[in-house]
Amino acid sequence: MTPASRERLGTKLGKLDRPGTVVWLLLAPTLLYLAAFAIFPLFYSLRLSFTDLTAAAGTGDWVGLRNYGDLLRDPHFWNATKNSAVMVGASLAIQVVLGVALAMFFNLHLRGAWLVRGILVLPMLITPIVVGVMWRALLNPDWGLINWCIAAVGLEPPNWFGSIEMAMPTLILVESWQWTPFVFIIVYARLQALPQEVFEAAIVDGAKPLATFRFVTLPLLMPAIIFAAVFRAVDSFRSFDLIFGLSYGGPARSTTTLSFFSFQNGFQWQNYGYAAAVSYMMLLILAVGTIVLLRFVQIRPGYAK
Amino acid sequence: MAKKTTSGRTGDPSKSARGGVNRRQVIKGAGAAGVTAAALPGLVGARQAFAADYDPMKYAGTEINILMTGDENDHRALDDLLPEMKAETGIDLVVSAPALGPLIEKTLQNLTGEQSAFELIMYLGFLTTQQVGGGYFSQLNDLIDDPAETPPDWDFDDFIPAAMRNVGYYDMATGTVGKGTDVYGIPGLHSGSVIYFYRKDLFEEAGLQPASTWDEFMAAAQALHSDDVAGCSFIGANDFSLATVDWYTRFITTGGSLMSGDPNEKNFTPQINSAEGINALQMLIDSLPYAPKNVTQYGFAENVDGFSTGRIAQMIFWSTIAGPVLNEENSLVADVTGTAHVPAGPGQTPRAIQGGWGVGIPANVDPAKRNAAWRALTWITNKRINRHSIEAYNIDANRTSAFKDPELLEKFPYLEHALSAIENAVTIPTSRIPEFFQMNAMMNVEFNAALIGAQDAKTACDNVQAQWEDVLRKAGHLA
Amino acid sequence: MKRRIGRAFAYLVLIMLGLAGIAPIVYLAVLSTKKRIEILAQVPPTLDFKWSRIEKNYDEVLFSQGMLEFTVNSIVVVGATTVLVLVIATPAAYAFSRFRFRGNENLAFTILSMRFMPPVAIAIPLFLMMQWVGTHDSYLGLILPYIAFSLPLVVWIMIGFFDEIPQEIDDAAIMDGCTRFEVLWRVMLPMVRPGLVTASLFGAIFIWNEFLVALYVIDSREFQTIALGAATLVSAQRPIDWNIAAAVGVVTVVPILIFSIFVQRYIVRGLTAGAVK
Repeated sequence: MTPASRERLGTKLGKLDRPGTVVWLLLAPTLLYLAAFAIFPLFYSLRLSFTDLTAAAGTGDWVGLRNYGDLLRDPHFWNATKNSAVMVGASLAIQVVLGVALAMFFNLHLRGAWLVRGILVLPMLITPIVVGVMWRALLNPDWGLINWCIAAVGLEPPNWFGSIEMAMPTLILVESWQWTPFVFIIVYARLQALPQEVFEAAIVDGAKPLATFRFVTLPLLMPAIIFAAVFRAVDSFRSFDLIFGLSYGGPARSTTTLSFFSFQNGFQWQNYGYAAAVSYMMLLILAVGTIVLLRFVQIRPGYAK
Repeated sequence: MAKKTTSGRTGDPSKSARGGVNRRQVIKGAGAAGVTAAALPGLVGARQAFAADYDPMKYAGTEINILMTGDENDHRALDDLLPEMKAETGIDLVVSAPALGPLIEKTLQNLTGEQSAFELIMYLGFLTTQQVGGGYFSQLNDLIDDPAETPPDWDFDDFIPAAMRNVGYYDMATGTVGKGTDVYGIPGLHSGSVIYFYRKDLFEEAGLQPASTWDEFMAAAQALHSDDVAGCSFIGANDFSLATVDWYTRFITTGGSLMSGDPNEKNFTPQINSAEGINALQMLIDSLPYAPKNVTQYGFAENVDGFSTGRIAQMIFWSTIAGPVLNEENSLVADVTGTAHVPAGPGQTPRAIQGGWGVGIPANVDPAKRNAAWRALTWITNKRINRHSIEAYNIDANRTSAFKDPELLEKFPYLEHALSAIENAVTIPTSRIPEFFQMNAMMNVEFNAALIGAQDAKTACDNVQAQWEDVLRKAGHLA
Repeated sequence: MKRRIGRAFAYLVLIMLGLAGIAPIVYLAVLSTKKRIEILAQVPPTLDFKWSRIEKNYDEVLFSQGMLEFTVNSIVVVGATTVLVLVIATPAAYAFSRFRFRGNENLAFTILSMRFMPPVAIAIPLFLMMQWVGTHDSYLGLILPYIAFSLPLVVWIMIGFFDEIPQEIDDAAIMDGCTRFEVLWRVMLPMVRPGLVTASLFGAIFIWNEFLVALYVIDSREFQTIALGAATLVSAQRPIDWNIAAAVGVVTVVPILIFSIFVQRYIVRGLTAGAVK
């Protein structure tokens, strides 16, 4: 490039370089892309939720709010909502407590801990369907390793996915196996980034370890915990592939969450209108949850302090 | 008429088989000598007088796309023989084999679009009324009757009549599947129904005969039940086959009738909570003590696993599992497993649900490709594929000749019962409406809950009855 | 003494944790070396391995079922998606980090919230879009929606990385006569390179596992991804060949295993720097 042409290009770019313009130029690709690929599907689904479209009938007539009305009267919808609430609530509680405990434990910096940390990262990288198949093998009532171990110590193995009482806890167990490490890694990373002087000061002040944790460490970890918890809550709310691979919503309807319920209606029975309404109820729950959450905490990179 | 044309020319089957070999050799030779496809007809015609007007390479170079199920082994059997097909017909068959959900979705999208991207589409027997009856498939009689388009050794009469009634014949005037002589699809690549599997050794030891009634089935279950072997098993999990295999077989062989009325007349009424319906479910609940401990977790896979490791004394099941159960590579009880027709109540014919697939040419196919599609369709439903499907994958094929092949029969004695099961099988009435899968799923959920002990048989049947009526009303099949 | 016991106990816990994480995967690997009937009949599985059996199972999975081809497809799709996402996301993240404009934070959060959409809500419309555009059943049919899936998280993480770089560096470069684009291209990009690695990693993980959209968009085996290949394992209406299913599982895990050995430190760093500070 000759210096002259470079200069010309420079002036051209200079015109584009006014802060007001440049922001939107920088943002444009992302915003346009998301508008096309995320907003459009959302509006499409919204429109769909006001029609009676099924693959079979194929008419897609406008039915107004009928799907939503049916939904609110559908006991299976409420059952799925309850299951989702149980699954998200329990997974979250278990994973946050265990994740924080793990982070504190790894903060002891035992020799060889890096290896175990590496192992613990693995589960969350594995395709959920494979996780499902893997645990179906482990929990197989006739030849699975876990039942054999339980029987070997003289106990009666639970009827994992064969009883209504056990199915959801089993699902949560597998979910937690896969995702507790996610909470752990985030909290652990935050813990590593904290200035050590704070803890030293607390110890000098004569604080007991438990008190140090409660009044010093935990508050400092809170932004990380909230961030991880939000991600986990949303992901376990919308996940259906683990259920798809593991229990297929059963037995009875005990592991049919909203996400799986929507999958079933839309993808198996081709009741597109109804399934879209279910998805929109999910989005509504997410939106309300987010708004409530944002009242109390702010999550933004660099701002979560 | 379809039937006359093909049988007239087929002649002695051994001769036509030899003809097939000849033709293949000729083509191979021609390929090696660098003879172009265009030169082939003369060569083949010269050697085979009886196929004078049939030119196997007429559509060489055409690409045909087939949409078929990827859930079962059919596409593997087909894959194995694709090179042979290419060599014999010159057609490039491109196979798309998604899982059932997307398959149905893609099918509907193509059938209702302007022009189908697939020249051949495989449809589930349960969906024949919806898809063929919807007018989406092209009638095939003109092609079957045309000796220039249909291979002389294809042998239309060889298809099992029950399979033809399930997916092939359709009477548009009355909207009835299995009626008349208008053909819209060819059975392919497999059918299947339900047969009875039992352990010959255990039954002999106890001096029992294989159960032919449900009372005998229960008695044998009690007699044979031990810590190591369950007296019987069934699908107890929330699974497609709980309702369609275990409940439905017991239901119809004890006098039950699933639906009354007709969807067109808006009086299509379920009879789930009839005495027979409740009783059929109660039979399953009553056999729980003699079933494997975790039978409510037993779906398709677990039952096959349990039987093939010798932990189950008897069960009724899809005949398609005969392969894994009777194959020594996969089973510990291969040599002591017997098969028979399913038990039935007094005075009832042993029969069960009809499963299986058909393949058709969409009505909105590219007209220029319709004949080539038919050529591909006749190839993938020929005797060789049928035989190979049974031999290599234990897929229940659709041709009488494959089931009666002496060599296969000796290797797989179950074929005798599998054939009679298909011949006697009934098409489940709810398959007449598109809501079939959803309704079946509702039934499985409620029955599974009853087996777990969350509700009794009557409540479960009442719940299904109410849910079905609701769906039927919404869909306009019931006023 | 008490301290030493505590130490020993801590190591015991560490070992148990390691086992809890790895044992299921090892179990899967062991099952993948067996005959189907051995899995059903030998409990627990014995540890005598026959090479011929291992070869047979993996030959079936890699070649007959095409998992090798699917792995290549996954790498192509995820790789292309990642590159394109970085091109689109980096300028946006830079803008969010450097400019104070009205609605900045709301917009950033709105973008992140796109990541939270239930896949079941958007899979069918995306499939229809791909059909209209004419890219369904091709690599592009997957890459286009996957960019949208991974953009929000990548933008989010990149904001964190840009925030780490002091504003003064920009100012100095602009004083030297650089335009904003030059600052981004010449000055920022080299500095933010570790961030690019981390962000693309996080974008990639979730796409690698996606199968619902793939299930609809992809017809032919030619373009199937590894997650889609694994999804066909779960077909209720046929007996499960557990040994084959296990081998498929192992085949999907191995690339991740290798990958995670190399990138572990980036994962931890990504979560520290990008997600939470």
